[in-house]
Amino acid sequence: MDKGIRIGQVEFFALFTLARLFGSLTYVGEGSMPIDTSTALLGQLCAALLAWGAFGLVTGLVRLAGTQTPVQLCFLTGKPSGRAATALLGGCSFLVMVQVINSFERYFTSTVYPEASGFIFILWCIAVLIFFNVMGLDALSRMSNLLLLGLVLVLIVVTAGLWSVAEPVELISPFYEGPMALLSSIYRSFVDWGDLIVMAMMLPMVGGGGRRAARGVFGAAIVVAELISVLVITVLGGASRMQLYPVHALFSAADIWVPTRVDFLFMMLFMTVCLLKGALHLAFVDHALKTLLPVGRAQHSLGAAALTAGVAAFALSRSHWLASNFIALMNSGAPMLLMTLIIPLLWGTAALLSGRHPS
Amino acid sequence: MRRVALLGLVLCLLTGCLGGQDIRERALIQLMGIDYTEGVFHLTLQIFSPNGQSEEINTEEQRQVVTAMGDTLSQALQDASLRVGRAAFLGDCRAIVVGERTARNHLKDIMRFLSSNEEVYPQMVLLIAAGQAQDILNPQTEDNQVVVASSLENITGSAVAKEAMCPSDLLTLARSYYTEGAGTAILRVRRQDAGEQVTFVPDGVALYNRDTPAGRLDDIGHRGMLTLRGLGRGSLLHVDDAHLGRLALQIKRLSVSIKTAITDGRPRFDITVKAELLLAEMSDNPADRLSAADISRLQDLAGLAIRADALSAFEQAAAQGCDAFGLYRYLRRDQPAYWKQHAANWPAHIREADCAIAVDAHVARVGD
Repeated sequence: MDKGIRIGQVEFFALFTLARLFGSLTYVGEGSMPIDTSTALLGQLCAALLAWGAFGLVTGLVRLAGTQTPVQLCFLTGKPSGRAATALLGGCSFLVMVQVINSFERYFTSTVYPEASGFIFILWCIAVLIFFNVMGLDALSRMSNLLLLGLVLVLIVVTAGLWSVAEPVELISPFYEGPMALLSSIYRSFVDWGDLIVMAMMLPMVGGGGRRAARGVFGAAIVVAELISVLVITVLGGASRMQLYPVHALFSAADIWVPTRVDFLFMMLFMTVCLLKGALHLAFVDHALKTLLPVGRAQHSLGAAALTAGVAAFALSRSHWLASNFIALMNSGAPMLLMTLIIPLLWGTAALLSGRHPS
Repeated sequence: MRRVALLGLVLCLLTGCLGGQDIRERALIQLMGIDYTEGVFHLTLQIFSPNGQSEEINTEEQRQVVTAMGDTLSQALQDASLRVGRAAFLGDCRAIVVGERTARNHLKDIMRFLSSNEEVYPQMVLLIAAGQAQDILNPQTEDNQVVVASSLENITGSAVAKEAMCPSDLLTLARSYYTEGAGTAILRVRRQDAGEQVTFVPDGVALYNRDTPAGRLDDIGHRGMLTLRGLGRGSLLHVDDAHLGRLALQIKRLSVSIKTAITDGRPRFDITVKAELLLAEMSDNPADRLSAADISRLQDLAGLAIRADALSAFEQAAAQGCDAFGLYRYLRRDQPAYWKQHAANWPAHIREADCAIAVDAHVARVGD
């Protein structure tokens, strides 16, 4: 990745958009960000506006820093705290990657192949993540364009199949559950936009241009996330909380005559979006490691990061206690918030003020 | 070179048909009956076993009825797999029939099993049998097995299409079953012996508040329930006219709008039903055709008949404390303060609810 990325911002935006939709696809009922209430509809919108604001803050920092990424800026403060901040950034991204691999393994061993061992899925996942990164984020981002188009087409088909069973009366006032529920929904949805900030941190490596198109992709992410929520609310109603993967159940319920079941489409989308998001974070971890470590020792950082994440995901698949605590930590949004806002803004600003950057 | 090697490694790891089973090794369950007696679940399964040789396909021969038992539904299904020697597959199952007493005491176990089984698909229909499921699904002669299967298919087809039958598919049931305050309406079926042949016929609707049985709607209540839910397209409405005699009108479309109000602390529902009905006249002779006045009278009669059914359905369900029509959703949307206060005890409050039903019926001749 450090060789530089030759794609433009639009492709990169498509990649982030899919990473954002990962939150909607992996929604697992109680605990994660709720998408099945009318409160969530407004919460997601408000969070998107906030995320756009945060994105502006980080991109402003990035623009000031010239060719440096916030990770490099943190490191360039030269102080131990700067190194710690870089390590924390990488660490948080590592946690998100473990979460993605864990979700991948959990989905396949609970819904598609209930009796299969999780080990093979973890191995398969990290092999693909490494492969994607070896190919480079260019290829990954161009693939995202196609996948995003595919996702929109699939959603149109599924929406058509669900039209007759949707019950609009299930949509109620977003304020029904009270202000605290709305605030909680905004916070948790905002955390889900974290990948946008990760993307902003990588912008110096990406070609420019296409701002209007980028805004269009951002808008598409909001529309798709809202559409998924509306479908879950009006089609599944109260049953959504009893489903391990409500969006999978939604796809199963879509009756489009031929074929009668389209849940395989969900499986494909889930798999590819998982892998794309995992690859994005592996690239970020690799970038942080390469910034932190001397050139010689960072040679195998990509493989080492992926394997360590695989081992961690395997440990999670073997221990219920570990997995539930890890999921609680990730659902709290703390790692994503640390990674996306607090650390880069604090240390990045410090680095800029101290004037210790090449530009 | 390194990329090619990596690609090769990834290809080796492709899961492909991991855990896949040949269709000939699967027992495709088409119908499942569930009874709970003497502390164990008894399953009566109608299984289709494909032999994979197209020249020898004989669906009747490939269809067999198997019984199995277990402490839990999962164990009973495993028992069925062992008895047949093939892995039981629920993804093709069209209907599950639950014995009346079993539904009364174990609906929770059944819903949990169905919600957590990844093979079950949401269009599968759940029915409650008057009596035991095994009596219906396991008639003694092979001829009857086929008749039972096809008569059940007619019922499930209508129930899934939401035409003329209470929608009893899993998606509809789960929606109400897992929602606070909602009542669940499940289609009942009973065995009908016609000479040597046995068939299934609909037998009203069983009402539940979550796992608790609330009562049932009779056939009139069943029709009225369809009206209040805006369903029933394609079903026939019979009206008796002093001059024209008994006429059958086909329901082409029903639309329902519901307004709510709270008066003296009690909820009130103002329901307006718009019905489009079709009349088929047998004669081409203009002189024999119904006059505009006849049609107008028919419209009034049809409106009264629809209103009477809907009112009967509401009164039956409200008296039994079960919101089988999803009226709570309108209260939740339009009267949130009332709903927040009474949601937990809605079955008690629906008993004191008022309901006014107005029907606007329009009769058109076929071909008009």
